[in-house]
Amino acid sequence: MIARATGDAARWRRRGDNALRFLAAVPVGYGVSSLWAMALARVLPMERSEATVTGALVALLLCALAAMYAYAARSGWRALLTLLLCGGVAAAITWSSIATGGKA
Amino acid sequence: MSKGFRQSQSTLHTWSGLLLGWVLFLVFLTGTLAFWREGLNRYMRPELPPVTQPMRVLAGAQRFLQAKAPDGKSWFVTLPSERLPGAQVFWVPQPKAGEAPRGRRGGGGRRGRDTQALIGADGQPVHARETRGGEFFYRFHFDLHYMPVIWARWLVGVAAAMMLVAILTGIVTHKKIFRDFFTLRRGKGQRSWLDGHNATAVLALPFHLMITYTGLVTLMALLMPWAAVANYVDPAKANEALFPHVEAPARSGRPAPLADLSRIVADAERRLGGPAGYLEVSEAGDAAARVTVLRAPTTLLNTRAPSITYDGVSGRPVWRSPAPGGAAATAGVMIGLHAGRFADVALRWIYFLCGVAGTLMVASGLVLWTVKRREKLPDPVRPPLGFRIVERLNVATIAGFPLGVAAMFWANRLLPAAMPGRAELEVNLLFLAWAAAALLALLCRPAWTWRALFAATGVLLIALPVFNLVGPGRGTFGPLLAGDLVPVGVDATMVAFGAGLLAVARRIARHRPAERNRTRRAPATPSVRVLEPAE
Repeated sequence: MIARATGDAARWRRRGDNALRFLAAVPVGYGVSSLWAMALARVLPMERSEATVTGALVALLLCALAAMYAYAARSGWRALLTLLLCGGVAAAITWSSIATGGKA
Repeated sequence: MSKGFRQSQSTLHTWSGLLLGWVLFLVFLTGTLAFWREGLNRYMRPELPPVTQPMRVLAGAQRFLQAKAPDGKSWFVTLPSERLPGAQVFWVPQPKAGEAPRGRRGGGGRRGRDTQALIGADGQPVHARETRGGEFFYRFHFDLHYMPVIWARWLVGVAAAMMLVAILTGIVTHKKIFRDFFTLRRGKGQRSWLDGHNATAVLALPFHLMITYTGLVTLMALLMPWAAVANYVDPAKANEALFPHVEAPARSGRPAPLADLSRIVADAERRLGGPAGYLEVSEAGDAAARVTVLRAPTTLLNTRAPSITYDGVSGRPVWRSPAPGGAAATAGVMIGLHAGRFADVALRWIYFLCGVAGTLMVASGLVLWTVKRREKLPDPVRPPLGFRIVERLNVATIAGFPLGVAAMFWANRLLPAAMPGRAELEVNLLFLAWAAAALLALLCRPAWTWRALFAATGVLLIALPVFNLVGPGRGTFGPLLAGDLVPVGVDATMVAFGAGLLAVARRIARHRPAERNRTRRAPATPSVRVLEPAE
């Protein structure tokens, strides 16, 4: 009975971990990639339109890499937090750049 | 590479591959067919002879448009080539007073049938059978069907992203990627499926990576608009910056005759350094008229063709598109690589065969999911619901959709040429045949349905060239004697694929699951395994 209970607990923990990884891989992964698309589009030393294209081109690859990382990380929480941190850095870059430089 | 990392990527590979695998199969299959888009356009309208004098067709197109829409807001002409048996023309009439102007994309929506025509080799509008031809496969590849195109493109885009993940994780999952490439153990159940999946994946790996990533790039503006959002108050401005074009002229109201389009095209071809593919006339019949000529994509790697704009009355050049920047050119070339319009026949074949390998890779991956799990089922007679759903969806998609495609080719030949609405009917028949196949897959045992559907598709594909040979129409030898290889090429390819499908059906018919053999060899061991495993 006890063994069964711990088995159940382990199963639920695994399910929770999987859900977190999925969350990190798909919506968060896309969000982080999008934020880096914005950050790169702002800071790359190119013409505005060129930096825009480069940012988007790179971000499409980042989506895939973020998903791979989300499943490779030691735990779902770790994947989620790391990706959110990466997104936070990109958001800070984008925000400060728009605040100082403005849009076209 | 650590074992844990590989294991995690294997899990991701399995599930990202399965989740949208069926969409990917459809996208891969129709995309592969779309490499022969122009060839299929001609194949499905056998009445049309190939064009030998393009300028004569262009002059005919100008005469036609002058009569149809002398004061048209815009005319669009796709010039004939060895791939297009005529000039495809489309026009936007002058908006009536008080009516909102119809842009090329806005307002008017889809191109109406009453504002387009095909000008044939003799310079006259042709009356060939209505068909979507190869265009259907091209559009379905990213727009799917029976659903709003934006939804479809998001679905296809997400599937492509999954594909990219599946390819990258597939590489990681592979321990001995090159040794496995030379390994094909036949008749060994799961091992054979794995070998087949690996061979089709690794054989064309650079192609798969290229086609998947560049496919995402074709949908980039939809999937990843955020870079433009960061830089532009109005993200549409990003497009204007990237693809500069001359402002549309305002109609002056002073009538003036349009210059000879053939002369303008000849001049543009000289200045652009290659054949012209497309031209656009704005404000025809007016003193402010403009003519823009684009280079044909057949000789360009970058899909954004350079263009020259002329004064429509004097025929003098007034504007030329600037050379694109490095990043814009990179994106353009990626889209060019994806579409392969630059490819000549030999390279087209390589594209096509790589596409076939990709389609087989997706299909074998989907089958592998069930093969792997079947061996571990606790009760093979009653597999869990999820397993049964995947198994039957596999049959419905992998064996069912090709049947629909074959049915569409047949509909193209059998429906009366003058029948109204036959183009839509052809497409609907594809989906009807596919729906029937899916219904069979749902109701019958998978082992039987796999075989029946593959066999039926094989027979249909082999019989069609025979019908072309003996049935009504231009036949096979007429065009061949005239030096036109397209019809006979399509026929031969169909026979090859039909024979392949029949061979597969035969193998399935002979196939006995390994487990049953094992129990037969050792009948003394009583076990539930004696029961026939669910096939």
